[in-house]
Amino acid sequence: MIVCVAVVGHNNNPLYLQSFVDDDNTLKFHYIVHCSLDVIEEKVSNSKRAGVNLNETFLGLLYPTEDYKVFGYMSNTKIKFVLVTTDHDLRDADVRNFFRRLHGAYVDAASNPFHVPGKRITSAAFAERVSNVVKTFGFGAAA
Amino acid sequence: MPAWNFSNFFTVKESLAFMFEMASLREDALREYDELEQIYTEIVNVPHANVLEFGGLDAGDDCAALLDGTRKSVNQFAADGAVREFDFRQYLFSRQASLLFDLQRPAEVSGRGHSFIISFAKILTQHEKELPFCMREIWVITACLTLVKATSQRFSASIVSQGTVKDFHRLQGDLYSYARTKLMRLADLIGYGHNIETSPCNSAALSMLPWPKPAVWPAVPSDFSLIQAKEEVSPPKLSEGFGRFRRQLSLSPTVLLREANRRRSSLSVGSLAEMLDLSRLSAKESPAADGAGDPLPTLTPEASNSEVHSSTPETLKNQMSIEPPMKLPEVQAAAEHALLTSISDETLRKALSSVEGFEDLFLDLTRSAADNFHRSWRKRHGLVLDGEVAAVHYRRGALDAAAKLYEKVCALYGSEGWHALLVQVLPRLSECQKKLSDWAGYLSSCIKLLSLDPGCISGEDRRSIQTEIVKLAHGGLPVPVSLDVSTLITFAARGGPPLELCEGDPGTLMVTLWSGFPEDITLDSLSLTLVTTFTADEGTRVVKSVDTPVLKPGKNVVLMTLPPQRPGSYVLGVLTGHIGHVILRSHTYCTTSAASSKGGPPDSDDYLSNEKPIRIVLEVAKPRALVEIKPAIAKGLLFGEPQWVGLIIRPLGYSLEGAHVHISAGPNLQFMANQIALLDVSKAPQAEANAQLNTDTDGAISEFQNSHDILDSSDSFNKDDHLSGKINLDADVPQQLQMKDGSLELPYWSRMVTSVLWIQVKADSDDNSISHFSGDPHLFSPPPSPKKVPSITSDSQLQDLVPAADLVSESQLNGNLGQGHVPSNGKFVSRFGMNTLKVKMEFGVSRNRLYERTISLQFTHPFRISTRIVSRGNDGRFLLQITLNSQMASAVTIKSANLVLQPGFAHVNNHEGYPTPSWLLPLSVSALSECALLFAIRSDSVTTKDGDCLLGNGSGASHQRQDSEDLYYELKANEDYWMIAGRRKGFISLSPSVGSRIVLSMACVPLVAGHVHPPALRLVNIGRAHVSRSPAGPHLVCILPPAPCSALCIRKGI
Repeated sequence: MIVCVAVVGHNNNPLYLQSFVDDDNTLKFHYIVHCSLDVIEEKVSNSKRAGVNLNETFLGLLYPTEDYKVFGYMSNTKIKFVLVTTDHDLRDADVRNFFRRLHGAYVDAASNPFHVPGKRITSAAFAERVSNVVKTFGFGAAA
Repeated sequence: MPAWNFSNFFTVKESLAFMFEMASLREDALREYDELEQIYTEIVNVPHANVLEFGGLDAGDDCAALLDGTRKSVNQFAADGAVREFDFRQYLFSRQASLLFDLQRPAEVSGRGHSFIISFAKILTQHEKELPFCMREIWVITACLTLVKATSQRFSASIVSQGTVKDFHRLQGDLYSYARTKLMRLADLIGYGHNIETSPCNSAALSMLPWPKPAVWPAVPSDFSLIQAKEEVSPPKLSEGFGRFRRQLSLSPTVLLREANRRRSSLSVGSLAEMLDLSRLSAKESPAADGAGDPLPTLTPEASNSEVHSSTPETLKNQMSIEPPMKLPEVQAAAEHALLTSISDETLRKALSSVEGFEDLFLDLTRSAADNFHRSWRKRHGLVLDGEVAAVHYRRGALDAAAKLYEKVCALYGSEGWHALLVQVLPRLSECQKKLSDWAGYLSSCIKLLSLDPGCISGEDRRSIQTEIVKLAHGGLPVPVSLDVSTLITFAARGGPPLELCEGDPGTLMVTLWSGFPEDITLDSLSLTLVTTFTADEGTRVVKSVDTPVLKPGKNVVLMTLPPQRPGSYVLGVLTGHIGHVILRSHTYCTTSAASSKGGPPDSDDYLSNEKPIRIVLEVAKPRALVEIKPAIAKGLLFGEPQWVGLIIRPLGYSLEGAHVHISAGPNLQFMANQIALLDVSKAPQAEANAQLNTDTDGAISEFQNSHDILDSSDSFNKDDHLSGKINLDADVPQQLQMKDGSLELPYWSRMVTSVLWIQVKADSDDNSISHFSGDPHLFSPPPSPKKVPSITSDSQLQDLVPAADLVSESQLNGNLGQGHVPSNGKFVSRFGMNTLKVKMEFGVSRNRLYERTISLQFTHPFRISTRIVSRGNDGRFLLQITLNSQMASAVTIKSANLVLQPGFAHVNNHEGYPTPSWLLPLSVSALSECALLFAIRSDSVTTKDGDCLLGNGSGASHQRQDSEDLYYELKANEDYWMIAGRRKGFISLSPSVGSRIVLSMACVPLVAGHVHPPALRLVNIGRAHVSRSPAGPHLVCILPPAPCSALCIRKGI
């Protein structure tokens, strides 16, 4: 189950963070997403240091913890997308596909002329689209 | 051949590995073990495989043996062709680790160990029901600590690359924090939960981590003192200050009671009664603190009951169970009892046996984890754990240490804009600072709290923070404190082009200011620095606000007084406000972004971006000409007549609002100090062209010409119409202005318009000097009459005098008289008079500017006149041609002309002095052209009694003898040189009447060539001084009579 989806700006500032669990304790997801930025930075700088030009936007599994998994994705404008899930066996392709759709939703939201780049995304349409992507994620995995 | 089993296979492989190891082929030995591990994993995962029990039930098994391969002999867990998983996996890892250590690769041990612990913990979870209570947690803690200890002992940063070092520390940090999480879980289980900070970090670690799920929950210990001890535990009292808006986060995934009771040996699954015991729940969810205010609604028992009913319907079915369910203290006491009896690791048992012991170990683990994270790339992990360390310090009263760590955490969250996380730590920091009397820090934290995203803090709390700041500012601060409020108060200049000022002008600058304070805030003063953009000098100017500002929440408009500035471009610098001892400084200035243009406060994210566009708010121009005054007509003004003089007042891109014009006249110029002046709009292309022509030499001024013209046309007449009250150019101009003492104030509408000020002057006709025109050096006494010569009295109606004819057509300049003066010698006289008009204009914003100019006006007579006799009859009649040379720049119509003659002359045909032919008039004379009038004149017979014409041809001597006076004359000439015809000596008589004249003609013919002295006329009884011959030559000899004598004139040889 996807428990949290977040979009983080190029200055590592949160642009959008939505949890999909019932309890109102979203702060722990703030913490998880915030700390996962460390891992994203680590992955990016490691690949840079290794001389590999990171053409891949999908960063893969960030946290291999016992209880939840964190996946990351970074656009070429340094917008980071973070997914927190409690599913244990996920197919990589599903996660990639999820991020691609999320990225598309973000691009559309950022193209809104009333959106100020670098500011929080307040668009209700974006939120709805994200929740759709999240909802269909399970079905995609099943199919 | 015996059947293949894993045990045998393992024995073979391991012997091989031993041999490799003894041959120092450790890589090969390691490969053997790796293969073994892989094969084993495959075998284990095969369903219905022949496996022994899992293991882990021996004494001391809870203490991880992942690096200790000698704790149990292989025989113990390998038998019957199978191995006990619990022991075997640990054994395999210990062998791999020891080989890796021998290979000097402790970092790899760390990495492998980390993933081994995670995967092994998962395996332990699968077998949790068979294992002792909480074995998984204890195993993980001991495993992590063992691994960390062993690897860090063997790790040497000098032999590996930088990346490996960082990676190693990252792994160590991960291991420490993993152990820390499990320790917290245990502590929470046995009732030390109050001592765990409910931070997002801990919540994230714990709330998704399930409670232990043993097959049977430990029984309640018989020692009731343990339970009582748990019951007496109350949350530690912490003074939180602003901490009341910290969110209380849950650390437990579900209610522990339900988990515990569900697994009781009596199978009495959670009943209603147990749920009523909400002490645990409320302790978790209500603020741990003073209870001063509880923003979160505490669940009422009824509400939670219904929740429980709906969520776990199965609990209802079991309500009939007889045995009462365990209460929370019982659960905790049971857990503690079970743990303390089963833990074989001494350190851990010590830590779990008391709160202090737990806190010590917890602090140790947290600090080590943070330390290792700091040494790796994970600064955020490290700082967050620093925050956890700080929380322990805070609880223990080590405020200084806590404040230092909290500051770092707040800086991290603040810089990246994670306000939801920031609001969890910032109140703590402010509380520390307050207690430490670090007022600057405390106020700064308050400002940060106020500038958090809306929604983080309730309006009421924001108001109380503001009250706190103001209260501190007005008293209680030992030293002034400077606060950076860039995130709270932002400011920007008004949109559009920068304010343009001329050098030395004061002005006002409008600044828009967004206040993030929740309520009105009264500042003692507000000032702003302006920074020059391109000059290297000190470059900053401080401007103050007009009045004491009260900042409303949201958008404010503040007017800043600008003292006169130096030339240059200015941008906004720092905004400084004073409240008592507090100085608020704001550095940000935002452009009119989409957010701010909508009136909302610009997001505080602004300061994250480094690109601040420089927007110039003030342009102070270099000194230049600001106004120009020149005469509309400088030439061709008429003497003796009231003349309208136009002064073209041209503002050069500068407002002449409220300008005063003072005019004073120079000598010989009459100027009525109190008169009605006319102000007109200059739109005449001619005047404009003149101006252009005149200013061409002045490059600086002509530069402004174009812009000024545009200004004239668009700015003044269109944009400012609403200000000027819509001048109707046709009806309202020229406007009459009352001039008082030579000064008047320009009306508002003319401030940006080129206008013409018409005033009336009159130049004195300096007729007195006319007598000097001849400039005869021999003339000693003033002439008896200034009018020796025929003078023209022309009553020409001079109309349309001024070149800009359409401009003054309404004023109808009616020059009544034009006078021509014919000089006596018949030559024309060119006579101009330069007169000056001093114009002084006071203008500028505070009328501090002065423009002075002396305007030269050239006055002239309307005509230059020359005369000529064009034809002479024998009868003494002649035609006098009077040539009129127009001096004026416009066409003039001469309606009538009248020649007044001296006595002795008369007009022929009695024409009353009108020219011949009379139909010639009216005559139009174009500008600067000439015309001529003819007059027929005859000698008047009145003065010649004998009837001889005085103007004879000189063929004979004419003389008259009068009774009154005879004049003897004699002409002496050198006879060698001169032949003289006529009487050389004799008497002539003069008429007693004034102005009478006698002409005596004598022909003197020179006999030799060359220069000869002219014949001298000698008059007996008349001194030589009275005889004038000017010029010397056979021309006119003028004899001035002695005092009583009447004048005489001898004219010769015209």
